[in-house]
Amino acid sequence: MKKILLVDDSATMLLSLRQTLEMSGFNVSTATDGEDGLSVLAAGSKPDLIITDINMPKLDGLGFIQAVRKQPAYRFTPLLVLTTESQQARRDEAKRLGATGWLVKPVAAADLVRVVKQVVPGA
Amino acid sequence: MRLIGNGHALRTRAADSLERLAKALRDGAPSSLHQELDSFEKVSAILCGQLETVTRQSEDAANCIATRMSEITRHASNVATATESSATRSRHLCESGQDTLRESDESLEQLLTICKERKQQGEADRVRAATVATNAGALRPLVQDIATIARQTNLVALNAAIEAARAGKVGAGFSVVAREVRQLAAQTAAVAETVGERINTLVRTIERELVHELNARDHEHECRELDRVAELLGALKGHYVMSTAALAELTENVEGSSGRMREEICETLSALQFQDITRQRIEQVTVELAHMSQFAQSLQSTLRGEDEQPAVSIAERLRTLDGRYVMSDQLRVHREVLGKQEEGETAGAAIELF
Repeated sequence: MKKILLVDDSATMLLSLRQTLEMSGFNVSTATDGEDGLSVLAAGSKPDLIITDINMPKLDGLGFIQAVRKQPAYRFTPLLVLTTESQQARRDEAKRLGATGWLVKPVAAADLVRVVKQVVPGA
Repeated sequence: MRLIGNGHALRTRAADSLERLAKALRDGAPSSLHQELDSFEKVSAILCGQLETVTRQSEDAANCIATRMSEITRHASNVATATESSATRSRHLCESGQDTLRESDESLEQLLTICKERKQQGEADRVRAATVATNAGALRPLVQDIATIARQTNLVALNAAIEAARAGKVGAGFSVVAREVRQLAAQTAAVAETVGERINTLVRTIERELVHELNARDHEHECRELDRVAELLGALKGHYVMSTAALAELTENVEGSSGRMREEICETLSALQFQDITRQRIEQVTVELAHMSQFAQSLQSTLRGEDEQPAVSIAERLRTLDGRYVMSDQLRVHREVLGKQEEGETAGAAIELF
């Protein structure tokens, strides 16, 4: 079963996305901000995909992507941004830092699962 | 609907406060102006409090819905698992039942074959018995003829013995021959009796063979019964096949419904993303309200003659407001309210893979 790490400061987002992805056959772990996300990764979780929000306390999504890509173990792990933001500059910045894709909330469950299967090899 | 109604009321109250503030400024009445600024600050705080409550309540409601949906999912999953398990068991039972039916068919076919063979064998035995009976019956007159000949021979030998006695010494040799002939006649009669008894025994045996023929007729009855059992088994097999098909259809329907329900639940859960979007928009409104409140405080201080760093003016804040939006919808509402045309960059695709 493929593993996904969800990083979002909204409890509702974590709950709803977790349910959706688990029902689609994925093993999901969660973190409430960028720092928490890095702690989960440091604890030995080896996700096949990371999905992160941008606007978060402590460490935001862009800072999180930058920190993740610095770690050799996660240099090539697919990483999707799921955010309310639609500014092109932020999108370009995420791409430059190594994000795999950009999804604007709200995203339909079927679309999310389709994209996840597209970027996770063997999913 | 209720949230929209509350939002509208809040906007109206905020506009009223600003209107009173503007009036106080126009009238140039310091005491009234202080009062309006103080009221504005309070209204602003109330609005922020109301919006925070809306955020908290919508978040609680969305989380409650997500948790409930999770429970529904768990129950639906249990139902689907139980149905699938029952369907699998039923399928195995059906397959096993069909195997048994197939074996029954084969056994029945073998029984029918044996029954037919026995019937043919019985018919052949009956024909053979009839032939033997005919042949045995044909021997009876011959035995009678031998017995008659033996009796006549005995009489002839008796007469010969009488004549030999009359002849006296001359007939002595002939008398010996006549005695021998009488003994032969007696032996012949005894043999004829034995042959007759054996023919009777043979006839009784043939009669028993005829009973076999009756048994052969019972085989025919057995064959008819077996045919009937075969028909019943065939009908049972038909019902079994129909039951299996109905069960397969039911299972497919349950699995299909379960899948569709899962998809619907997933989409419902996705719809809860509205809460995160709403929360961020309310947070932005709250920040702006807080700034307006801060500006009102600063204005009050200035009017009192206190030397305080003035806050950024509302007009200045308004000029840079569109740069603080993160959602295209926020920018759209901003432009609609100010009557501005769409300008600058357009929003990128909702889903983009780099």
